[in-house]
Amino acid sequence: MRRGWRRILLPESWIWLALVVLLGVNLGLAFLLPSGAQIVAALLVALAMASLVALLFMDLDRATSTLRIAAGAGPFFLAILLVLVFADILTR
Amino acid sequence: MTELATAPFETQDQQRHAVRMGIWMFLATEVLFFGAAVTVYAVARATHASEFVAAARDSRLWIGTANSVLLVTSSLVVSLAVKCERRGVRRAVVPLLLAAAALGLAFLGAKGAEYDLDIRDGFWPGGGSGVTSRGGQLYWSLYWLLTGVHAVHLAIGIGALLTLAWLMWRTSPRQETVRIDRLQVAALYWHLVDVVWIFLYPLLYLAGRGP
Repeated sequence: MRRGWRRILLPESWIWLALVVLLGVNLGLAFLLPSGAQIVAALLVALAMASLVALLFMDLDRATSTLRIAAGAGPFFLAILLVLVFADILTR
Repeated sequence: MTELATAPFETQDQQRHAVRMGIWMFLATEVLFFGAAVTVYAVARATHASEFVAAARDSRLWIGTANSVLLVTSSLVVSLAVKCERRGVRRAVVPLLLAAAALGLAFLGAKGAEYDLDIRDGFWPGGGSGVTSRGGQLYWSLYWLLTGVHAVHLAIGIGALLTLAWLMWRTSPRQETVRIDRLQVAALYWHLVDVVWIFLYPLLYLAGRGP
């Protein structure tokens, strides 16, 4: 039982560590970067963290293409929303 | 005894796939739900940048950061529960689910304490104190909206994990498909709540702290 535990715990813990490190990076960048650059960097780091969770915790790395497309549907339509809203705002 | 697929599914594989498709479709609606609110945030910040970001400086960074660590850890624990079930280490599943629920409760506790401090300091639109500017009001409105709705989602997730822990305790190990499917659905919902916070944290807590 113990051997089985370690084989499961170790790879998952590396993912957790990567997430915590990225969190630290985001925190650090908040103090180092001016506001404009900070929001871009912060969102990129958040995207990296979300990708780790989606691929490795939510098992998208071993999912069928259909599931991956389903998983991408939300972000895809959100991206359309953001692009259209900002196309309006930035051109006023 | 081999499990049979439940109608209308013809095979277990088809059933398993359909269950996952179903939860991912639901998660897509959740992404759009929070996404719409985040779009409002983006517009508010874009149109009232300096006041908005100045107001964000008053958010309690260390509670927000601690809460982020709690949620990320809870995602680890839930993922461990799924992997343990998949690899037959079934005794660990219920304790792991309970541990994840406990971490979620710790998050809500910290959030409650934070809300208490925020109310006392008047950090709500029309509450006086530092919230006099339009951008500041927009920030704090969005803070309460986004974190409040997220907390409701988290509470539902905690309920789901506790219910699942009870169901897993009661369901025979031989009912493999039922066990893993239920676990997978709850786990995916929990991870989404975590992912939402992964984006909320920089938006609400990390703004306006640089040079």
